[in-house]
Amino acid sequence: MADRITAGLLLLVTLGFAYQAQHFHSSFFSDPVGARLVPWAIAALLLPLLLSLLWRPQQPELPISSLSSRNLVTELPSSISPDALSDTASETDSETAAPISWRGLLLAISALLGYAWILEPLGFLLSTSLLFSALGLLLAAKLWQTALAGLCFASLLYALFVWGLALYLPTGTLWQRWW
Amino acid sequence: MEVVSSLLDGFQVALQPLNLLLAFLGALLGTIIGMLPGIGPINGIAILMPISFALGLPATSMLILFCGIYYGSQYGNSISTILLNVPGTSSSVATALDGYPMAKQGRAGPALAMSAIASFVGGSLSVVGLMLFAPLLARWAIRFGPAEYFVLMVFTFSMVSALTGTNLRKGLIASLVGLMLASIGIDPGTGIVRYSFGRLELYDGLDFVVVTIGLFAVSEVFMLLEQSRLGQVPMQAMGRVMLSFKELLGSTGVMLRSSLLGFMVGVLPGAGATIASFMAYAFEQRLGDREGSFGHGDIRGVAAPEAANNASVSGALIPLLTLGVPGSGTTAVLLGALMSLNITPGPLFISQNPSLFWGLVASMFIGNLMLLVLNLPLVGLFVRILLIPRWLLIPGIATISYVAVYAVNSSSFDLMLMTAFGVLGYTMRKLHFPVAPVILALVLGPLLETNLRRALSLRNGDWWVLVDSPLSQVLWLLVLASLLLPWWQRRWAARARG
Repeated sequence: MADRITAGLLLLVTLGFAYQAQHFHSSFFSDPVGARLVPWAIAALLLPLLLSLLWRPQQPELPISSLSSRNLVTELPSSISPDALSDTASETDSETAAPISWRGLLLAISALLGYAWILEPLGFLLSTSLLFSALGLLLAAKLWQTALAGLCFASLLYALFVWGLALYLPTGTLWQRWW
Repeated sequence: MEVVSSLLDGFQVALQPLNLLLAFLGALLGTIIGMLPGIGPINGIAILMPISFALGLPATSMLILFCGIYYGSQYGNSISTILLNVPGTSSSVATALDGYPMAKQGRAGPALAMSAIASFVGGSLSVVGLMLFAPLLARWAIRFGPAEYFVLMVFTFSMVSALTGTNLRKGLIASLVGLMLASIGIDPGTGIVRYSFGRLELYDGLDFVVVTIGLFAVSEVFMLLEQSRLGQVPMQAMGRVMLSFKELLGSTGVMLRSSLLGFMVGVLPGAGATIASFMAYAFEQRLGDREGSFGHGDIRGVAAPEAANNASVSGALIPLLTLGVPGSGTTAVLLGALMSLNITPGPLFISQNPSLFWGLVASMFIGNLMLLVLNLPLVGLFVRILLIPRWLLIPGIATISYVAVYAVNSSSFDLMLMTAFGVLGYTMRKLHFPVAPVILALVLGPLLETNLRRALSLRNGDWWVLVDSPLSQVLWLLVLASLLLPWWQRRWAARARG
């Protein structure tokens, strides 16, 4: 079902993408291809793929890399899900089998988005400590532990980036009038 | 002889104090990054990229550092695999098959020593391969015109889509969505702004670093948040890191064969370290497993995948440096870093930047030696890092990622965008879409489009230009073959099973 929803949403995105491309036309260039060919080509290739995914979603099947040997599949250690083998080129893997915890995920996303929002007004040190502690709390750390660790880590990063690398980090527009 | 004198010049570059330090730093960070489950070389390089831009590191030094992380991670990944049965990166999954049983039998020490030595053999031999074959391929690659480049990139996409992930359609969809993202910004051919939604920040296109860190590091943080609810895995005792002479001798042939195999697989686009390690393991099992000891703690089952996954690294650098067409996520990130410094790898890259190429080669020899020295006696120290509690590690990764991006661009918009790409990457991984093709497409997209349009312009829009040279015909056949690969592999596996 998830595949069908994804394919449906992507289908809308692709159609919008292709529709937008008709405006990429310039009258004074004699480029035989123009700026809209590639977007249209992408859309033309995507549409049949998405329709096929909509029509027949992926059946659970074994990843290709595990098929390189005849009997590897049965011998894999139990802690490794077959999915851990799949993401070959990215070289980063996790167990996709873990259940999604929507509450934790939404809280983590809000913490990260909130960080972008408070970073400039509150300044680097405070907002980074807050972000660190928020994520630490999501990982079931004790409040004092993660707050202390967050403050230490933020100070360390501040020292490294501002004094070590001579980069700018915000000090907080909110506090400026007191300085 | 030309090779020897070039290599000596390369050592002069690599032995400069800064470059030596960076090779060491890369090797060290790579080992740690490879060892920690979830954090791969892509994340490490992507997070360090804005910092090294800000430091104004010269291109050679930056490449030495990033490649150090890349091959260093192939050393580190076996540590958590052997001790915890949790692979640091997917390329050490094959190592778990015999490494963890060895650890359970109390032979974790020899397994770790074997893995370090096999990594060294694979890493060093493949650098020799890189040094000998890259200049040859570069000379040959001068024949590539825009049309051939275009087809070569199509081939790369079809291979990556076919070999990464669980489903060819999803791989292709991921590649095409990546190409969509790549078309955001001002079109260099006509100056028309595409898909910017009126935001000035998007006129230059999506910032490659922001997308990479979002898709890989931030999505990884979301994944790790979930896994922390699962129990901690017990760690096996390590024992003394020693290897008997007999074990070493018995694995010499295995290491040499696996290095060669790993190197060749590494050159192919889309294949890379994971497939190399599995193929080497399967090959050695069929060749030498007379007593059926593979899978029950045979030390050759550690030597084969570790030699192969390290050897594949230098192999993967060949198409990147000689053709400018990376075949994996990590090499795509390296290309992005080079292009940010206005260096475009291609057939003329080695002859125009000899000190860069030979300096890198020399640093890889030095770095592999450093890694051997680091990994044999100091493995006990590295293992301590695995004991860092997750509530420190994961917020640490997240904050470093965000700070690194903000410190360079000073833009909150970038941070928002990064979170959005984190959510996208997480969703893709949950739905079994491979993420690497997106990064590859983002880097290759502009090159793909430029070459296509250049080829067509040269012939006034005649589409036959894409098929009329023998070279492009061969490449189109390869594209076709790569799209049939999953189907063929399924059939082969079904026959083997039934």
